[in-house]
Amino acid sequence: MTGQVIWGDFESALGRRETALLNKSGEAFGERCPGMLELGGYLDGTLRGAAKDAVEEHLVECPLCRRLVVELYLVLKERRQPAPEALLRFAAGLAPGI
Amino acid sequence: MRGSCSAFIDVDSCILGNNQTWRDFVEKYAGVVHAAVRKVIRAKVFRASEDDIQEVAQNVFMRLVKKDFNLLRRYDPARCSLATYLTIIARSTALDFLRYGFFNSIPLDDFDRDARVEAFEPDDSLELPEGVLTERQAVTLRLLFYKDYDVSMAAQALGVKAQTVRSIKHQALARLREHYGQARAS
Repeated sequence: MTGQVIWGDFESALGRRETALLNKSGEAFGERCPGMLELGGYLDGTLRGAAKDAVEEHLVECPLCRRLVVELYLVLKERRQPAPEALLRFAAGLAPGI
Repeated sequence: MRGSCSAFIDVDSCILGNNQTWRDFVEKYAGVVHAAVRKVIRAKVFRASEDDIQEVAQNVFMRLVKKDFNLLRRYDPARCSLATYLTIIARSTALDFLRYGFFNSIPLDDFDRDARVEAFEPDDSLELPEGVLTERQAVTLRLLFYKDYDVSMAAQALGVKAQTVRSIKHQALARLREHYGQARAS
């Protein structure tokens, strides 16, 4: 029936890491996805040369990473206001010996 | 508390326990952490309280000093800037708070999961059915399947034994099979 969830669908959802999207070449998305730090390095300019080119080539093919890059970009460019004093006091007090 | 701080923060000095360097680090980067947490939380919860945002931001710093500054020790400037590194950790911490309603301070390396894991948000059309599982069963399944934790990681996050996680998982899946079996039969 339309809209009815059957156990098979749910098992599929639970095991969705095994369910890969396919790109135009029939290659599974996500198999070569960079980590978050690599995407961050790409955005902040740390990545250069071949490493940067590799990320860009991957972004052309991978909608998952494109979405993540946009989200990460928006978080990174968030205007930074001075942190609340309470946070500063709390964090400063965490180091050993203080 | 507020005073001048060097433009360059010696992370190694922080790790070795230099209190002044740690204070400088906090003063320089607390705003980065707070802004990232606020951005992530308010993207999902429009009226999130400042108290919640601050609590999550505090948890970020707790993660940074945990296990003898393990997260800071792992920072590699060849991969990204320190501000980016802290932003990604803050984002991961905020997402944990939003998804699970508690702070998962371990494992410490889950913020750098590959994009495939990050991008697979729970499918709304296949959400866990309401009223079938207990809260603990639902959280356990989300950790095991959505967050892709193994049993030991889930056990640490929940503060229970690994065998307890296995039992909860078994019970939860049994309830779901029964639920969908009844739904198909009706």
